Amino acid sequence: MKFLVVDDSATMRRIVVNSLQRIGFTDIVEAGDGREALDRFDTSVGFVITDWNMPSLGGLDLARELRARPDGRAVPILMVTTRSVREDILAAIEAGVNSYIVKPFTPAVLKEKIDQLLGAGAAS
Amino acid sequence: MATRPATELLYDSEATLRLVDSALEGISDLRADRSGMESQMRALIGQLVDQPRGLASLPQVLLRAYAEIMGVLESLKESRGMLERAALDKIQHTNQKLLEVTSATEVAATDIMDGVDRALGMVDELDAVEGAGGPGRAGELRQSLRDELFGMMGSLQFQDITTQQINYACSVLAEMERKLNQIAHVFDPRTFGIDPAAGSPDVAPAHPQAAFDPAATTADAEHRQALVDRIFGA
Repeated sequence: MKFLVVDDSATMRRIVVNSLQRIGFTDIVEAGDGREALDRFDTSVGFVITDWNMPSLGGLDLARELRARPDGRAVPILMVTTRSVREDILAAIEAGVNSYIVKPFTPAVLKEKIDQLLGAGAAS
Repeated sequence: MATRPATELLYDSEATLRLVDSALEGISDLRADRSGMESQMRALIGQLVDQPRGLASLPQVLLRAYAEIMGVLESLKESRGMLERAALDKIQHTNQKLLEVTSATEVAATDIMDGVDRALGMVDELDAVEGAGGPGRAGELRQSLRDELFGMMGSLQFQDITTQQINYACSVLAEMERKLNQIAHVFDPRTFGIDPAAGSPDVAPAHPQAAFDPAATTADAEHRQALVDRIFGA
């Protein structure tokens, strides 16, 4: 399965990528913001992990854009962000995000959320 | 400033008072007790002639007011200069230092991750030499070392969070700079019709918009994740 990792922080992208590799996922592409993510997204991408606060196009808007596309409606979207107030979480659900991790996260939490989404099947 | 009309008024006033004086001389045949009244009047006229009052003092008053106003405007010009120096120099300098911190921590985090990757590679080599996953204390230690190294990498998430916090601080400084420039503009002598100050400092270019969470924090991650899980599970 190909993962699309989206974050404007090179440090965070590397941490997420290393975590995915440790779990066993090695087919990974990266993007520095939502706009670049949309350019790199295609039908081969089976899972999207995205940050919220990014220049050009943020994670919330990325989720909305993906859900508006026929090839993006069903892809699992996992938000990894520092935002953790109730209103933000509800906004993420509204935008079509399937699960949500708060930074800083542990590899165990990341694995748990991925297992839940892959085990549950496609997006809502 | 036009002082001639006020001076002419003074002359006219003085001439009028002299006429009053001569009129007083002319009523000397009334034989009233004019000695006290006349002496008071003469004293009053003398004061008016010697020490200008009312309209006669208008030129001096206006000159003093003009000097005071020019002094205040000069102070305002100095204050404007100080505000502009504070806004453009100190705040921009502080902003630059904060951005340097962000850059330095990103470089350091990358270097650390490179080191951790190399260390993990060495552990993998040890596994290959000794037999990965095999029983025994050595295998356990290698796995523990691998976990520790990976944990170190995860700890570097602080760099992303502190970058967002610094970006928030920079946005606050940028707003302060904007407001100080607005205040400095109020003190612009051109506002009062005075010759504009030469060589006004350039307005700082707009800072590039950085994406950040103003509330970003490394604290209490488990509690915040629990809140998220409750909402998603609801």
